[in-house]
Amino acid sequence: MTQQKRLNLFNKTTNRNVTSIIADKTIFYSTIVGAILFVAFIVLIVLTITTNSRVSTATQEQKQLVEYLSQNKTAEAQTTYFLQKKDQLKTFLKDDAAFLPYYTILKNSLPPATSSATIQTMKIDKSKKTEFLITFINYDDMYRYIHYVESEDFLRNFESLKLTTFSLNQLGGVKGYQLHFEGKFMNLPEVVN
Amino acid sequence: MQSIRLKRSISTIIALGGFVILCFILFFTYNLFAQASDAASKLDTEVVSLRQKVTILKNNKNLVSEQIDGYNQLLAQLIPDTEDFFTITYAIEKISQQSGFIVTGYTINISETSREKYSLIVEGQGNPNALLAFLKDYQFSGGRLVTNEKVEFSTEDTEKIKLSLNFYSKPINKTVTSTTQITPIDLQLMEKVKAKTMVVFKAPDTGASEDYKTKTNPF
Repeated sequence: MTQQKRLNLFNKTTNRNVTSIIADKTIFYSTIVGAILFVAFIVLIVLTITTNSRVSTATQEQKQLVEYLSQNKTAEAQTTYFLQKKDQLKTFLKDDAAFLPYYTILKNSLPPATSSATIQTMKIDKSKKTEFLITFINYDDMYRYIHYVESEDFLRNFESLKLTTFSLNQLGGVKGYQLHFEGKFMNLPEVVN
Repeated sequence: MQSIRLKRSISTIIALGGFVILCFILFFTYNLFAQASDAASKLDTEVVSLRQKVTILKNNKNLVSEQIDGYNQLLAQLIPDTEDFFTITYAIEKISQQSGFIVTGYTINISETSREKYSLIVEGQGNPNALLAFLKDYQFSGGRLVTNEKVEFSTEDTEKIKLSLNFYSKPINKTVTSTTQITPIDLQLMEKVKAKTMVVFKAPDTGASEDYKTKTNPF
């Protein structure tokens, strides 16, 4: 069996074709990507111009605002002083037991048009914890008061309230009834006495 | 054949070169855009904050332009920047006079005293009405802010009553500019405090009247 020898006459042509195909493809893709990049470039240029114009408008506005603030420096300083001092006032007032509004609540709860009931003692601290002792000469007033103390109208002033002692004493030679309460007032919105 | 190959090579090189140059230009343009965008966003934030500041200042000016001087004087008197013991003594005396509650003495409560708070234990005597009047007015009527952390009121022990009173002093932080709106509630509070303080602020002296006769010859 003899082996037939053949010459590949197309070998060179194929090589040339591959090079030219690569070259063609390179040109083709470079052109397409180049076109896309060019469009992106145009978009970026437009965006940059728009942004720069926004910057210049904002710079102008900033200038005007800064100018207004520098012209009104005194007013700004006055306002700052007022706001900081007002905050200090509000903070420091939290240290206060604010006795009077709470005393008034108790005073108003006593039976009107009678001197039979008096607030003998009252303690209150800044957390609004309270203790008070109320004395009655008249039994009926005391009885009505206990009823009133249990009412929603009175209890809405307190976070908690309990009658700790009830005693019958001689008050200046007269029979008297003493009610001792402990509890905590609700915080009143008003901080100034 | 050779010239066609050369032409093709040159075209390829030009295409690739153009592509690379375009990439560089695009990178440079993108950098420019990024810088502009960064500056714009920073500026926008600053302008928004400035606009807010200006709006608040305008509103505050409209709300308190006439009263703010008076309010600031009042607040500076109630809570001075530095402690002034003379005004403490004066305040106690004034409240005592107004209420009829006689202050017999006072001692410094060192354990409760701090840099901002000056705590005094005030001893006094008076009937329950005088004590009530004292407890009604002590907060502002002495011209200083006074607080009382714990009140023990009794209608019986009127001879030796002890009250723990606090006085305050604190400077403001000048480096911080407030960006809070003054509210009508703040103004209500100030009006109430003003009414309680009963301080009469004198109008500035405008000078003597110029409507008088003059002599040309002094002799």
